[in-house]
Amino acid sequence: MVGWGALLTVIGGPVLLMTWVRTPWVTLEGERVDQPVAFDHRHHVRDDGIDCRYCHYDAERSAHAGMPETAVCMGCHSQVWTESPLLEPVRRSWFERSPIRWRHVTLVPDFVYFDHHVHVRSGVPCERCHGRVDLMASVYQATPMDMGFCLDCHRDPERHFDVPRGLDVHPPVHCTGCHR
Amino acid sequence: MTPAMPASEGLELDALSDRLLAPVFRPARGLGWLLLATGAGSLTLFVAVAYTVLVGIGAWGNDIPVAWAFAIVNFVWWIGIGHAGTFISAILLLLEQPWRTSLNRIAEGMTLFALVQAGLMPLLHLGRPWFFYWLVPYPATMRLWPQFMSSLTWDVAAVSTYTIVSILFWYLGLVPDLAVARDRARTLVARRAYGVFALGWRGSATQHRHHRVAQMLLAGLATPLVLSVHSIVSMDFAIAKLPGWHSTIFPPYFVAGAIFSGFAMVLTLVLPLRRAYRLHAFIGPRHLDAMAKMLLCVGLIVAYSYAAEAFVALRTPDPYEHEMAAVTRPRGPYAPLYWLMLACNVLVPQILWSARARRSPLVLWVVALFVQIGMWTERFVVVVTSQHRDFLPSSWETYRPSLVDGAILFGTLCFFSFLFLLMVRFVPFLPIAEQKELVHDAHVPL
Amino acid sequence: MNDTDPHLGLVPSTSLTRRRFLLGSSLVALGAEACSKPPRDDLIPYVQRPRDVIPGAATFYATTATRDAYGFGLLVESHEGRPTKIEGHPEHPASLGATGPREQAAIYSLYDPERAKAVRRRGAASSWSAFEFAMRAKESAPWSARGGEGLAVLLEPSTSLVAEARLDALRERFPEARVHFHAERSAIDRLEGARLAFGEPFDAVYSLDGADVVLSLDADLSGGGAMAVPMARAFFAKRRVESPRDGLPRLYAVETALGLTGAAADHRLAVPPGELPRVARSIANAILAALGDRTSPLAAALAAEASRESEPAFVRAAARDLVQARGRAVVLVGDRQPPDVHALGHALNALLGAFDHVVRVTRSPILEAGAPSHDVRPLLAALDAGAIDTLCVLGSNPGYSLPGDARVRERFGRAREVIHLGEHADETSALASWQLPAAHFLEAWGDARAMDGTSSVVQPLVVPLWGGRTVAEVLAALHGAAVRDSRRLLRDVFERRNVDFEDAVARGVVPHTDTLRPRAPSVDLAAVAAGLVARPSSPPTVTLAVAPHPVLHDGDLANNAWLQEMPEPVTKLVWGHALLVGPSTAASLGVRDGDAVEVASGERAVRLAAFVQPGHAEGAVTAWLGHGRRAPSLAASAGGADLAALRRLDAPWIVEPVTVRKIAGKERVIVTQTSADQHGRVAALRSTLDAWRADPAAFRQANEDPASILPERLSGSPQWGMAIDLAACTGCSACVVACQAENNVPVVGPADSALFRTMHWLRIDRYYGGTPAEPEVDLQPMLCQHCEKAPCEYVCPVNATVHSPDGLNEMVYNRCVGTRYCSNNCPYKVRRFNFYSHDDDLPESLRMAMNPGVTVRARGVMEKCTYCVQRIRRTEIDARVARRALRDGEIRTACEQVCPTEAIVFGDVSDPRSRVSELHRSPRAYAALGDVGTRPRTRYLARITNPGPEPSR
Repeated sequence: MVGWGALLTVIGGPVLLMTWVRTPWVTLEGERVDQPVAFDHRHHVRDDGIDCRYCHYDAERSAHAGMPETAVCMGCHSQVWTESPLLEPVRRSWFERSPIRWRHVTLVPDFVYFDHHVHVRSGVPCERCHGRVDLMASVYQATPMDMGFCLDCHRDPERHFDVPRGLDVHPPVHCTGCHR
Repeated sequence: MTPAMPASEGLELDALSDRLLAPVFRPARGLGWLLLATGAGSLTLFVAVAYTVLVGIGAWGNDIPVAWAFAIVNFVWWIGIGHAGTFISAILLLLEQPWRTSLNRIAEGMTLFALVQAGLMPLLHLGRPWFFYWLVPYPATMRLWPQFMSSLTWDVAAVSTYTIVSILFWYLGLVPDLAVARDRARTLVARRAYGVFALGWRGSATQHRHHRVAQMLLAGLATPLVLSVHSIVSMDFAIAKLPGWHSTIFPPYFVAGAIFSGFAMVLTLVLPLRRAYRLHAFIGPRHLDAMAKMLLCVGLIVAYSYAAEAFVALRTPDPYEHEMAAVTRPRGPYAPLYWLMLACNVLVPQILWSARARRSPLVLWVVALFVQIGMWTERFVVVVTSQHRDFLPSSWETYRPSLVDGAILFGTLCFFSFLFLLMVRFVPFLPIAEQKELVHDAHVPL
Repeated sequence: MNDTDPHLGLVPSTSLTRRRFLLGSSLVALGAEACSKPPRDDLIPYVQRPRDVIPGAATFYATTATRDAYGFGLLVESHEGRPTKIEGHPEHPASLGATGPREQAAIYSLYDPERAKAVRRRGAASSWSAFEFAMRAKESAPWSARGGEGLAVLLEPSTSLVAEARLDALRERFPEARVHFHAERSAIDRLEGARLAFGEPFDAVYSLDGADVVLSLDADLSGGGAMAVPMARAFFAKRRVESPRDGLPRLYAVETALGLTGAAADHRLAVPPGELPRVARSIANAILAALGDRTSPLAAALAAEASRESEPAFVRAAARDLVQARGRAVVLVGDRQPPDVHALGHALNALLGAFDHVVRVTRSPILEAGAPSHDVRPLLAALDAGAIDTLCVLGSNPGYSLPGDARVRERFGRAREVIHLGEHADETSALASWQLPAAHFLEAWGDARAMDGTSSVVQPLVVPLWGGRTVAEVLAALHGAAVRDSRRLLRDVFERRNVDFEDAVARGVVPHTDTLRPRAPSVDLAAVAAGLVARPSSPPTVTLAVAPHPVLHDGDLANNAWLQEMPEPVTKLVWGHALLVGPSTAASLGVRDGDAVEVASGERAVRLAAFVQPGHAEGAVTAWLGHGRRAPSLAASAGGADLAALRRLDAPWIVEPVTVRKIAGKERVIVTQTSADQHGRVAALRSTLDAWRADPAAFRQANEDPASILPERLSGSPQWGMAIDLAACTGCSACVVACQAENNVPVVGPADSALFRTMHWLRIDRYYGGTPAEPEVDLQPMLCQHCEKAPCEYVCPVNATVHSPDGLNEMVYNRCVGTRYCSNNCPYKVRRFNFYSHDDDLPESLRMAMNPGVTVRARGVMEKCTYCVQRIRRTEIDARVARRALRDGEIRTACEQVCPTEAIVFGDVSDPRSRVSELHRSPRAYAALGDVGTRPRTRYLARITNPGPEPSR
């Protein structure tokens, strides 16, 4: 009786833990994040056909994809929906010169030096990691974003996205590729 | 050896049980105070550990180059002590040495409690203890495995196996005695408590047969461990390049040392116990004699290891090994400890050549204490002296332990004693069943 | 166990603060966090993005630091408007792309949490506008009505055109105002000497690539001097012999304490400071004799002197070699020498024909060079006379640095108002009624000129963090200038000299502005002879040589933790001060390292820790400025003694006679290296040119390579490696601080330094050979060797240190559990362990100094040199994105980039054409501890010295 109990905890405990760390409770997949502005990617990407890189334009030239500065929003919204109450926070930010504080959705630890532009220039589609943002009312993390997730693709990229012909993609699988 | 005289004080089996249960049901006076004292002493350990975990390894005296110090010394020392227990209970069991029966429970208990201290050390020694599980091979989301070339990963396996087997071995032997205790307990609480752990032992012939088989199997399992565990512990040093560590003699050398210190510890514990509970009938002169001879014999092996290590180092073309053996150890800043080690481990035991010394509890006890000290010093010499002057002279620096280091060593001693006294208080520390067996076997005409 | 000094905010405290306790009690959570996710934070974009800022990408701006008032061009790395790293300006004549430790540490000074943060009036918080108002109001500024009578301004010497303009304006408005310049390390004696020799206060610039024999009279070839970088680079480039057939220049050095110049010298003579002029003269005398000049007034004057003593072999040899190498020989004189020695140096250079190739001169760019305004004594007299109503001290810290007989406290007390502009609340601001926060040069607009006259721009990298202002701006406030804005004034000044301002700001350096004379004016030997000051042969007592601290200078850098913890290059002392004593003097005093000694001159005495320094002149002891600070600060926590009590204005560098005696007790002495003997191991190899010629393969046997059971993994290209030329390394330690700045290396403080827990990834090992009296010094930068058969890798149970395919020994902090086995198994002991959390208690401002490209390490984690992997990977990514191959020399490690003598070269060893491969093929190349079989990727090039036949070194 006692023995069985012990055995169960000794075997079951670790198994339970190893399962748990793979669940969204830990990876935060699909966790809802409330943003200061009710920004709807479905509308901007699908209805208006705006490319990701129109707003997140640093993704092509910097490690950070970058959140668009208020000026980018106002580029259009000084012309359209100028009265919309939904855009009140944007207008306030613009006229008060105070930045919009967006919530961080896609989290990787600080010791991971992810570089957007080398991924983009190597033909990795945004949705490979960020999921179909164009179908999200409000953005959530769509993939586990743990080391395993990165490594699977780094170890053989062909299986995870169609690599553009001509550029030999050989992602690093050694530590300092990402940790410095 | 000639078979042991059944140590029964001429009592019948039934009375024998009472006699052997006496320490449990009529605890010696003053035991409570001892428990209190050692318990309080153990607190220093817990405080020191908590402080270390909160503040960091900086709380210790460690530095660069001496990145390993007290914690590792304590680890090797305690785990070494454990070995004698397994040796006595397993190997002597297989060798059918009846005199062991009086000692094996004490020895196994000692092993267990030494392992508790030992096991704490490497864990505490980590810079980030809360990630200890990364040393264990398991399918991680990081897609990473431990480095199997590192002896530290072997260590995890070796020590944890050893702990489990030791627990089982100790407990298994205890089961029938717990049953006896259950049957003779006066209070309901005691009866229930012993009852639970007696796992419903009824003493039927089948149970006895199974019990015997299980014990033999475990003994078979444990025997290689006596050799393997400390061999692997020794490889924590031997696989390194460090002069003073990088040596093929380490595995046998460490095993011998382990059993050496272990027997010393058994003596240190048994002799006072024998006096306190008047167990002269059960732990007679020939027991002491046998133990002393073991001590002497293993001591000689240890002495030989020292000689061999030094000889090889002095003959090697490797300038680093040579300087370690020729200069750093005998004449360096830690030379006094080196000589103390030789005095305690090589000189002192020689007194045991005299039969009178072997049968004198006092002499034995003193010798045992010296050996304990000597063996701790040996580990210090191996661990610290080798590190503090290795390859580049620019990084030759000394090491001084901090208060916390001292507190941890003292604390483990107290905690060990505390656990041991608990056993003395609540568990029959002389194996009743096996004693009865001896008496019984002696009565039936062969 | 650890410092609980409140001023060591940056040093980990072991006190169980609440957050620390929470941290501890939530260890499990901590563990979980580390393997899953950081807390959700905010993303804050700009409202409107500034020009040329790309978040996540670094931008470089050109600006200028100063060394003893002379300009030193810099390029500063900035991340989202936050300066994090300083590099030299390749186009600036004083920098040539390299820097010294003090420039590297300027980042720390900028973010120093102890900087003065507000205008204070008699200790109470005030404001700049209040100050400006006070300077205009009649009652608070009576001098303004009397044409400035009663107003005195004390500044540090400057070469700034903006400052000049401000001063002119001030003088115009207040003709009666007194203006004085003072700094402890000043050019005043040097310029005086030049005036003796040339009739004008010239600065001399030495291009040592033309020199085959160099005599240094207490000169500093490789330290913090204004032109140290070009001098060191030129000289040591010639010491890097390719093959035994080549020749190399010979260096003679005369000095008191063992310095880096003496360490590099082929022949070194250690003499008490008072003796040095005499040695200079006997050498001069010998030279004149060799030149056959016995009649000239100079020869006569010298002969009269020299005949009194027998010349040591050193003098004969030096004179002989200098004369033999005429035209390619030069004499360098140190700043602390009296004017007549400088004059003599110029005379000798003239006689040796050095002015043809080696030395060029220019009128000193220092404002009012050679003018009486550089003497502070009249000001002190005026204070005594009560003629000063308002004393305005801008920049310097005379309250600490002036010698005792200046009686600063008392004299400043005579002035009604004392205004002090400084970066810290220091000894002077304690005496001031107005305490003004100074702007750091990375916050300021301005300009400076190099010793050769080249003009360069000082432009701000950030707005003043604490509202500090520059000297020029305060001067403007004093005389109520029309143009307040320094930038505008700078533009006006430049445009008046028709310099394109925008272009100048962009480049930093203003091209073609050097004022070097094509040919030097002749030296008036008669005047030099006449100028010679007869010195009584000093009595056989002990002399105290006072020297600026090699790292902290006169204390202006004493509040910089990076520099406090940077081991002093020769003694390896950190966090403190000591009295340097020669071996036999120490024996006669019966003192050992750390014994308390008392140095007394008359009735005034200071208590110091004795430190036995091999090669120190006997009959003299040396103590440094910069310690014994009174103002509560990090600087004060370094302890030591203030020498002001012993020093005198008329002879600031020599105190004699003094009595030194051992007294009861110990004083703190913290060194980072305690054994100095190489024990015949393959560490820092050295040979003389002759010995090498006899055995050209001398260094090959060091490369023997034992077999290994570890797998061969490394193939393909690139394969990173490094070469360090010990013939070129001067030990200046710029690389140590550069590495610290680049890699967020923490400071551990005095207590842990004493426990050998300093965190430097790159250290410089110092070994002594020879005899204690005449040591042979070997200096060896020691960092991770990136062994191909790395012993650290196979012992790490969690794979936290592993090899990358391009040959790097990777250290993965986030995987490390801190068994420390790697450090035990590292033969070079270059791995560093975070015994405490160095990040938790770090003040906010210092966090801003962090390089965002490098992980800040947690407690309990091992770390070490990574070959600046962040730079490698960044460049690789850029090259990849641009679809181009990497160029050799494109990736430079922080230590390589900063090195004044280019002793460190990093690159691809799989490419036979790369610079590093070339060096690895050199006959001087060897692997440190090669016999251990680690196959290090870092190779050293043995040092070749060139001693003459006699005197034997």
